Amino acid sequence: MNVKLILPAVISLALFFGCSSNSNVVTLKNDKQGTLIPTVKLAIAGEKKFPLDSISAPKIPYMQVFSGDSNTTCLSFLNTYASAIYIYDYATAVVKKVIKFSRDDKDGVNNPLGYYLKNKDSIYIYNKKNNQLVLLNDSSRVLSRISLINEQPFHELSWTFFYPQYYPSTAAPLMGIGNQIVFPGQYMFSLPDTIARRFKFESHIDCSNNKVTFSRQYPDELYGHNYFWENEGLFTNVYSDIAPDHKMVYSFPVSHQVYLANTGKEGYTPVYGGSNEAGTITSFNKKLSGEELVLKVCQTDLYAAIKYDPYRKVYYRLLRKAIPDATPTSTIKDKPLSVIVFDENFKYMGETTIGTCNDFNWENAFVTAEGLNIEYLDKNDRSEAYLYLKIFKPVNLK
Amino acid sequence: MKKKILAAAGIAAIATVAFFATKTQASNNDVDLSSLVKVNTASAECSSAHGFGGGKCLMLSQICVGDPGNNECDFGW
Repeated sequence: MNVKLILPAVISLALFFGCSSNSNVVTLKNDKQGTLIPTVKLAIAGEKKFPLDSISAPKIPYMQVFSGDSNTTCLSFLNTYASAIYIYDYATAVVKKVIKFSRDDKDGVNNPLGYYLKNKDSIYIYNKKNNQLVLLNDSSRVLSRISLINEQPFHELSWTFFYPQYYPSTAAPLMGIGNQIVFPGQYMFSLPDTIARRFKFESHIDCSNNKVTFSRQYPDELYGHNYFWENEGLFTNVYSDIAPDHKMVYSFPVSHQVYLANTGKEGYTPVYGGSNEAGTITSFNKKLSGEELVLKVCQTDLYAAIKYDPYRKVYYRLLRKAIPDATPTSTIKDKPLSVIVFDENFKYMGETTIGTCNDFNWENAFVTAEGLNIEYLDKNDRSEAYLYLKIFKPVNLK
Repeated sequence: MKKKILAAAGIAAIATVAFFATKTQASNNDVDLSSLVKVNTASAECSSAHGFGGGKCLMLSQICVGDPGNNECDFGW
């Protein structure tokens, strides 16, 4: 046996097997699991049913609550089938207005996914085609198209390595801060370290001149270092809300912490924002098959939206709870849905499992004076006649 | 001696080629979606009806996202 020939072969093969698997794994332990003492629970405080017309259906893709004439609370939602934004009086559940728009490339919005109603004359609709924000007036006339990819050719796609993609929802919305629209997007795949070091997921649109700037990187301790989080978009979702004192709060699905940031400044202050029941969350050491991935997602606690309630001065953070005994027939919608409540300093107050992700369309969650509204999926409403909201409030535990 | 050096270099070259051949891009998807996805309704997002391509279909959410070099679905539609 020729040792001098075998040794380089062994070294080469060792390098091959060593380098071909992604061995950078991050383990995110919940240091406070089992130690938190609840003082409140979330209880149903009411419900609302908004009658839908024959061309509207539940599981609304996007909603925005806003203050209308005479400070009336209005609920609006996007109906892509009708190419319209419906506006209801939130209190009476009566339709006030329907804003129709064209789906034409030239004078409309071809693929609308979300919007921001700034005022009666300024409606910003996000157009997935061309990754742009389209400004329309109250007659639905297109006033301007604002590229969110620096006017780069949309279908050439190299911009996806540099600019966010967006899938807005009611719980991950376009937001207005001053005269800016703040629009968090995301990187859709697991971030290579070279991208994690520079990628900014949040766009800022100056409404006075349509200038677009970008801010907010993914926390390095979660998404840097070539940590592999599969390429399904789910693990790199970004949820955020406006917080008091010129701050923003960010929730990433894989972190027991939430990340506070000052508006207009980079950098985060992480604070504990986890569940008393959530377990360790670990990145992947290899690519999984579809079945393995669904099972893993079912077995893992994954955080979701975060909402600040200015009326009760609390935060609500949603959690898609792990199903420890999940089987290959389990689906992600079977995961229990919890709402964790924190005070305005992020002191843990309690958490309540309100149902499963089959029961609630949690991506339609928003806060009103009445409480935390979450769309309830009523299996008895076979004619899809209503948008059904259940409203929750924290109540003291006795 | 020369033969031994060439043989060692050849083995190293084969290992290197094999490594790069199997290294996955961020966007590879080798999942058979039709057999593995548990969704109740088909999503138009993941169709290729327009023939533009440029997208990867995210299995868990059935949405089409931009992915250079991937033509699983029509991105932007």
